[in-house]
Amino acid sequence: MPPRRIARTGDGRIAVRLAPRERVILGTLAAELARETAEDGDVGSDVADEGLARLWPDAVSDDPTASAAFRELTATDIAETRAARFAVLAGTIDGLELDEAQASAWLGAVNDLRLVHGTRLGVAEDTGVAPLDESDPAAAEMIVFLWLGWVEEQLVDALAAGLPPVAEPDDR
Amino acid sequence: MADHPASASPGTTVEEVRRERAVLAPRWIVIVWNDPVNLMSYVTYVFQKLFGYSRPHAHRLMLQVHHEGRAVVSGGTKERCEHDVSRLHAHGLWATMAPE
Repeated sequence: MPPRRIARTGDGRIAVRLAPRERVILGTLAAELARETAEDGDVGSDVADEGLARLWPDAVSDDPTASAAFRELTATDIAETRAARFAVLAGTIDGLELDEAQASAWLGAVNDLRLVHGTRLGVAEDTGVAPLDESDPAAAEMIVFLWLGWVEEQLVDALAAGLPPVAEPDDR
Repeated sequence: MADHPASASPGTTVEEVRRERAVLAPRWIVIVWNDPVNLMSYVTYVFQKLFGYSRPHAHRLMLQVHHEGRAVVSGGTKERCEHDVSRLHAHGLWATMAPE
C-alpha cells in the first residue's frame, strides 16, 4: 500500500496530500455520480441501475409497502444530504487541508462512490485479496475501486481520531 | 418544574407521560446487514459517530454484522428507529427496522 496521504494534523484539521492527478480522478468520479444521482429522480426499487439502487436500501424487511412509505418520507432529505456532500467535495477538491465537516463530506461522497462502483463491479468480500486478472476488461475499474478504498480508509482513520472518547462499558 | 401536557391529568409530569408511552408503544429495533462493499473500519466509525458508542462496542457490533450477517444496533420507538434507519441509509449502510 502507498504511504498515508490523508491524516489529522496537530491543530485538528485533516491534511490531504493527494497528487493533482488523483484529485482530478476523484473529482471527476464524484461529479459524474452527483450528476447521475441528480438526474435519476427515482429512488429505491424504481432505480433501474443496480449501482444507484444500492444507495436506496429497503427500510423494512419483507414489507415493500412500508419501505415505500418510509422512502417517501426520507428520500428528499437523504438526496439533499448526498448532493451537499458532493458539492463540498467539488468545492474543496484542490484543498490541502480540510476541516472536520469537509472531511466528513468527502468520506460520505467517497463511500457513495465505492457503493455504486463496487455494486456495478459485483465485488465480493474477498475482492482485492487475490491478484487482479489484467486481461479482465473491468480490471481498470477494479483498480479505481480499490484506490477509492485506500482513500476512504485514510479518511475514516483521520475522522475517527477526532471522535470524543467514550467510556466503556456501554453494552447498550 | 416540568410543563404539564394538556392531555394529561393535573400532577402528571412529562417524565411520567413519557414512561407510560414507552410502555404502551411497541418497541422497534434497527438491524444492520452485512454487505460486501462497505469497509469494516467505515462501519465501525459510523456506529461511533451516529450512536456515540465507544470504539470497542462499535467494533464488536461491526464484527457481529460481518460474521453473523446482521446485528441489532439500536432500538426504541418506531419514530426513533425511523430516524436511525434514515441516518444509516444516508451513510450508505444497509439498515432495516422491525418490531421487536
